[in-house]
Amino acid sequence: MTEIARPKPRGIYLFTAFERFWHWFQAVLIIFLLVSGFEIHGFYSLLGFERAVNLHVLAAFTLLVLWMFAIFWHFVTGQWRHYVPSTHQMWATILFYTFGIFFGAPHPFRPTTKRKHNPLQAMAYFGFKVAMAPAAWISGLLLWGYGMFPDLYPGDLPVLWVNAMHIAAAFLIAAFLIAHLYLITTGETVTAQLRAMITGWDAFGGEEKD
Amino acid sequence: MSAWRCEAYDQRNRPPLAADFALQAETRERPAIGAGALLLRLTLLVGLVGAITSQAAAQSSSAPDAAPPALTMSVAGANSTADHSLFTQLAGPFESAQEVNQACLSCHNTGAEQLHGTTHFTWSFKPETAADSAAIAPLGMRHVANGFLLSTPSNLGACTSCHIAGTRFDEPQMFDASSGPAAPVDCLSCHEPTGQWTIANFHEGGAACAMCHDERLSGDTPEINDFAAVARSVGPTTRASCGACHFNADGGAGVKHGDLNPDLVNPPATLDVHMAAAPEGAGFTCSTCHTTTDHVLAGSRYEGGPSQTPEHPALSGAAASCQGCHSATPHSNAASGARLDRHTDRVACETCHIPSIARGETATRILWDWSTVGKLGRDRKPMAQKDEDGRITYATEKGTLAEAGNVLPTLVWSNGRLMQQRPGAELPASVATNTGTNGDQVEGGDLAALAAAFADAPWVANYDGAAADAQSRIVPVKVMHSVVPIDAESHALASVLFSGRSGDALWNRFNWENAVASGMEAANLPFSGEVAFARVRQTIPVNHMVAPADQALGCNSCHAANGLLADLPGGLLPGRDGPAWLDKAGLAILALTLATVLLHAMLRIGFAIFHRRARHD
Repeated sequence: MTEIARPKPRGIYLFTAFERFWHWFQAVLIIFLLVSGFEIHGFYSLLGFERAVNLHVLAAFTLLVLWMFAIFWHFVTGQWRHYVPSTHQMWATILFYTFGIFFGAPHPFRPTTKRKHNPLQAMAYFGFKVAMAPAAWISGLLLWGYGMFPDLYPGDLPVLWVNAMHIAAAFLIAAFLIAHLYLITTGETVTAQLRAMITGWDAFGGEEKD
Repeated sequence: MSAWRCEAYDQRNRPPLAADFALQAETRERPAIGAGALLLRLTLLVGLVGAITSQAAAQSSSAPDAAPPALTMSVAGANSTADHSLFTQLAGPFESAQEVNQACLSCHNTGAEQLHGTTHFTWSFKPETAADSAAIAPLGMRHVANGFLLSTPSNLGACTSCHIAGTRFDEPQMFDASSGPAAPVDCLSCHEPTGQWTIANFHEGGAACAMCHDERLSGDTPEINDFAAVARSVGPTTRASCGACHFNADGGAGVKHGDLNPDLVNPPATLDVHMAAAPEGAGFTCSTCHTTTDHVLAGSRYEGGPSQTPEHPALSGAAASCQGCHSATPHSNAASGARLDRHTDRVACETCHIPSIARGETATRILWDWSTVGKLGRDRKPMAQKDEDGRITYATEKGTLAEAGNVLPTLVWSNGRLMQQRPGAELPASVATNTGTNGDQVEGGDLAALAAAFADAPWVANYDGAAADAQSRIVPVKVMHSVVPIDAESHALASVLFSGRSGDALWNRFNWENAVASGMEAANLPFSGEVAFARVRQTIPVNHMVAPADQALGCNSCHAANGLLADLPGGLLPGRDGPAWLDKAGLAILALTLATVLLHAMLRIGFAIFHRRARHD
């Protein structure tokens, strides 16, 4: 590896303890929700339907509580700004992933504490936060209410559609997960981004530009 | 079968009959009566106050797991202030059953009149609850056809062995008490508590053997010698007395009903939680649920859909529905109670709580192929063939038979309305005729093979209902498979004369043309002279043999791709359902994502090998 400018030996401190806790706890819960959810959907039998449903509901509410804390944290700390979509360097990033990466080109984007995610990344996370996750939890709550509190369920809302929305959200989140697991290997080294999310330190982070 | 004689009524000498255990079980319940009666009164009081403002209040007062109030009713007779064994009117001696009945009616002087209007007497049922009842011809045993002993009009003399007249009769007018001489009523048929009176009465009355027996049995038939002892034994109906007919419906023990057979005379709680003796079971008799008003019993397969809930709280009248005692939300004590209760608008209680039928010793018939009737034994006499388990697979009088135990009920949508064909009903012209099974496809009672072989067969009786109908529920039924005689030209279901002195009777000379000609004439139906056979099916309701709660079906039974409801469309069934296009699209997206990622990874590795250049060079 060629020497590149490293302002600090450990790089920059990109992910705080809460952020990492939130990320990994969320990861475990979402993977479990996908596994149990696709069992409930009938793709395979692993836990048994009843246990799968009960644990799915438990995990879902745990995730909702975690998300409440995370949303609070995002707004209090101002970290929500990282997810605002931006077209800055968008083409450069797209070209990097379609061509540059194969020829060893440098990544056009370097994370800083002001902007942690590249434009494609920010857009994908933004889509997850405002579309996929809400689609899953809103439809999920409706389905849960349909079973537990039928009197409160809006009678003219076809439950089959709600169910379809929940399944569609699950497929998108599963696709997101596959892409996410692969794309974290596209850092400066294969494990650089994984290490950053574990330790909080990004060895290749950029300097503050302002 | 051993001889059954008058000594059987001598309490000191007789060997214990199964029915005795039922009586003992009821005796054991007595200590509970005081508390139960108090509860009953309390509940009635609450009900009276509540009924004015809200019917729901009355229902909740009789709500879930409230066995004690209902139990009180099962032993109401035992609580009676009349001990019939001490009545001088019943001291005898009696020469005949008629004299016993006259003695009964000397006090119970409106008994006969009450009975004349009941289905037990008329064998005719006029649907009153259906909106279009005027358009529906009467149902009931006198009118309908089935896949077992076919139909009654041509066989009144044989079929009326089971009539509460206690004597056989040939004249259809005798079912109608409003004009001309009516059939008598035999109090003992229902009120002799061991049921042995009725069994003996069949035999003494000269019932055709083949009506109940598939093979000729050796030994004496049961008989009655001491009518006075019988008369003094009378009391409320018991499982055994009702069962004498209902457990042996349509040709012997358990033949017709998988959920009603002699195992229920003294069942373990695993077989029937309601009818098993306390403390394991609730100690119910039939009439605990099938409550009576003026001898009219509640609960009939002709009325009361699974969605009619719970209009009849058990304590204020007719009860024979699960909801009558358990309410429409019975799972409040269960772990996932609310979620289980959520099923009741689509799934009948019986579907989960009667996981299989004929779970005891007695099997139930699943195939009756009339087309093979008439093969005689080597001695040129009627014979019976059995399989290695001793089950009868062929009888000269009945044809090819198959039975099965521990049968999984078939699940169907039902609104409770049974669509019943009658003798003379014409089957669709497309129905394949002369398609007897010859027993080959169904050896050993393989239910799956039978279901496949009869997949296109028309129904002689089946439930109306559909997933889209809010009044329909998923209910369990036993599906009976039969090959029945039809008119070869019109494809009309044939009436057949089975027995009697006439040489035309099927069981005398085994000549189908003559037997059908006589049968059709008796039923007042046209006949071309040619007989063919057709495969038909029939749904038999399943409502009894409720298993303990821990043996009810679990979620996985249906919530699976290949669960019990795999072949029954409708509803939202997670684990089975989901828009197929969505699954395809979703899996395609997953596959595409994975393929893109893998391709990208391979390109990275490939370029890395060929370029052998680190980044940023």
